[in-house]
Amino acid sequence: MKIAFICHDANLTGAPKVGFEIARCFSRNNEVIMITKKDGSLLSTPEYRSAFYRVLNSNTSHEVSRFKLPERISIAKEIMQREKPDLLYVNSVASSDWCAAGKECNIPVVLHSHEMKNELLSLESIKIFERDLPRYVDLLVTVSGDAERDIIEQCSLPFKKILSLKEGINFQKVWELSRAGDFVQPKNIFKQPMETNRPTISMCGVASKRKGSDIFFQTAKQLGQFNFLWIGPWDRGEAPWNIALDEYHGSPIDNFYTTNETNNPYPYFKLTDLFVLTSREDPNPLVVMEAIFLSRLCLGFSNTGGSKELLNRFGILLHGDITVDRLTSIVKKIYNAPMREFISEERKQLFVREYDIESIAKTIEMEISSLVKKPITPA
Amino acid sequence: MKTLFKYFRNLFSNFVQRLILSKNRSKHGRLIKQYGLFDNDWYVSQFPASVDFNNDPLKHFLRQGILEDKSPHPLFDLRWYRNYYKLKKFTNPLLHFAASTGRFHRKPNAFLDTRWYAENYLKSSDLKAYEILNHYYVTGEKINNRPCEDFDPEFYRGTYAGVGDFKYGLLAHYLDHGRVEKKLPFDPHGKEFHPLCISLQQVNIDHVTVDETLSPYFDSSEKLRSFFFSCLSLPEDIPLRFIPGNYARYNSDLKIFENNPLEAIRHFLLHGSKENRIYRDFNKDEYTNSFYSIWRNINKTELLHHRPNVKTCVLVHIFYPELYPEIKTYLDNLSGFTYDIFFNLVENNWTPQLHNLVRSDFPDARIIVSKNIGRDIGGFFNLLSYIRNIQSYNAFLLIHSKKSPHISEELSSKWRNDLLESTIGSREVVLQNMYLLEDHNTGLVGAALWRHRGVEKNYEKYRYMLKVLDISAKNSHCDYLSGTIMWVNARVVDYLYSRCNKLELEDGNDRSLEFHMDGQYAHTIERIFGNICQQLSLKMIFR
Repeated sequence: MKIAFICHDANLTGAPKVGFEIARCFSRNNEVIMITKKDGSLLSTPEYRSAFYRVLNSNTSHEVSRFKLPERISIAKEIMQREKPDLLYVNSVASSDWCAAGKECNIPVVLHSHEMKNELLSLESIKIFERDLPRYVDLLVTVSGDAERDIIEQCSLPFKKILSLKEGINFQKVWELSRAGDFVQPKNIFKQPMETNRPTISMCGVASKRKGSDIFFQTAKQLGQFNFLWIGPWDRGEAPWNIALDEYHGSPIDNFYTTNETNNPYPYFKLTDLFVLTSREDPNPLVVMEAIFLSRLCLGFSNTGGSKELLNRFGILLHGDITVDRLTSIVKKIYNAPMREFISEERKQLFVREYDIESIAKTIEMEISSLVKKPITPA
Repeated sequence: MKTLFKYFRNLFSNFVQRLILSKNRSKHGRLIKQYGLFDNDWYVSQFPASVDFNNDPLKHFLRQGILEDKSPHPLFDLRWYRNYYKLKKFTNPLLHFAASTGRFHRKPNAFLDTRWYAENYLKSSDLKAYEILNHYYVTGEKINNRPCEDFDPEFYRGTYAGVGDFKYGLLAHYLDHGRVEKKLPFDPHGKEFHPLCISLQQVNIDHVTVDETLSPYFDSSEKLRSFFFSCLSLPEDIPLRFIPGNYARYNSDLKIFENNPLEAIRHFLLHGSKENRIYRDFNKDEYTNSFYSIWRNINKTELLHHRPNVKTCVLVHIFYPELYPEIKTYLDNLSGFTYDIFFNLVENNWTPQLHNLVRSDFPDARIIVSKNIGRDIGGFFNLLSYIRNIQSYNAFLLIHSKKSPHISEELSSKWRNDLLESTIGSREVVLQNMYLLEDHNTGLVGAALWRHRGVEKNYEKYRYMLKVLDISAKNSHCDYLSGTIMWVNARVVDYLYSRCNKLELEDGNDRSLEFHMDGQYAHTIERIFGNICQQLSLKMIFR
């Protein structure tokens, strides 16, 4: 089967990262044409380049081009008429303009939704997501109960078929990358390296309001007895939507460290004692899975979204609002009585079995094979 | 000078009030007749034959009888009413009574609890108090409806010869004769009593005598009379089943009365009755009929090999971590059965150790940590938000670390243990309950000892919730399990949660003990489970 696999981005962030991994798994039995709407580091990764039948960049992302919706659909149609795939796999609603094109070309369309309500609304405001989307979709794959609820609520029509799954990661890869010894030491605003005699609390992502960078920074201000480490872009150039920057520069603190942009965040997870997810919205952040896999104690809030299903079984889940006060109070309690060996080896094995990207991809592959007449044959 | 002024002021005030009363006399007479609150024969029977009523006993009542506390109706005890509701001399008690509705239903005598009667037999909350009185007087007693928990017409008629011939009915007989003749209004078999309370309740306040039981406490009839005077009460205000020792033990602030029954009674009359304090043990036999009537027909041998087919979800709310080991012991009785389990731990008392302990005891549990909002109901609601399809289960088992700081530790533990014993007290109990829940018409299974029927301080919220939940009038009487540790049909949970999940429950932090006792949404929702069962035509099994 020939699958056109669409990703809205090719950077090392959540949905594209999962998309590339799923596509890699599909490529064992299928011809996968990877089409991204924007350039990024994943496109040049040799492992992926060798796995895919073809790699294309349509350059139609709203972040890099000014194409209107009909033009974007027309470009998509043109590519599909040329490539003639048997199935169109649209990874994330951020690429959902491709769904209409797929339908016009009479190709079965699978939409893999990673987004939650606010993201859907913002995609709607830039005319990428439309409420009649289910018209074009033959199968909806969702990454969590919350993500499924949100997209159903935001659409005006019901979806024909829904497959509810979890997000998954490539554990082997995470394990290998985490062992890298050559990584840049995190520094605080005074360019000092991290104190080694304090417990370290970390969070990972591109600093922004959505990721709760302000909550993380405020908590650091209140808990001077701990190191706080932001893994990922923090400074103005790399994270332009970081709402904590003014305070970071205005009233600097010495227990707050950043790594800024990094290709390999996993060694930093190893410096961590407690991973906290401060995101205001995140359908199913991979970082939580990665942190749990690396045996870090994880803490998050239910209002964030999908990670709650993970945290209520393998971490600590605070039900409800995301606030500095709640975070501060729980962190203090944790360190008054350290939770050693929070995840036993047995539970970790269970976790790996459930969240392995290979098995998740296999489930999707079985489901999509019923959408096309052609049987799956090794590429 | 001041005293003289006061004297004249009172004289003037009395004169004015008497004038107003006499001016409204004919209007009042019309209303009293309309409400059916005056019985000519009854009224006349209270006077010697020589008294001339001028062919109009009602007028006589309004001019004179009302001021002498003569009863206008066999079931309206005017003296008791005036004293109980602390009415001023010139207030017309009949109109005061007739004006009461809803939760403000007043009682016409110590034994006709209009609110209780309406909740149990009339299933309508919109009736006026006088309509309820008339229902009991005309119809209810004849079909053996009880006017309150403590008067059993069937027993009274069957036990005391001749009482059934009393023209005005059994309750009127008891009020007028039976009580002071030391007759009991219900079957005493298997019930606990305190002799002092029985003797005090049967005192005739017009002819006070000190009997053998009372003599250790009162050396003269004058002292006995002044006891009632100091309590601002009449003898019939003492519940026959008042146990002073339990009253002192079950109310943590009253320990000092443990060996002083008389003071315990005085406290109850002055304060406890208004505060709805617990004063007696519950008799299991009275409550368990509903379970055993079902249970005796079940083939027990068959049950031994039965594998229950009830997809169960267990919701556990832990506010008091110190009670977790006890709850865990009970939850162990679920081993061998298939179920999903969710824990809600409360932030205030959360510790990593507790989290780890729960995780190691229940590796597959889903655990969340929440704010202290909405008490146990808030905890259950939090957990339900993680269940995508409530009706994918057949039954929910609701468990929480129940403590009641407003009552003594002894009663609080008893309450919790009674509830837990009846739900998951042993593997056999679990099997029995699951067996009962296999019947899709079972709505709820819980401890009979804690079945309750009072709305109490929750009236406004209760009415509001009935509306929100579309509970019809015929299903709106209050009957529920007090304590919310029980098995519930998933349909009931779904019905409740789908309509109420946006409800803003109260924050329990930094609030007074009084706040926690009653009046929150959690207390209302606890009651509403019973109404939902009624609405969905599901039976409640109390065991």
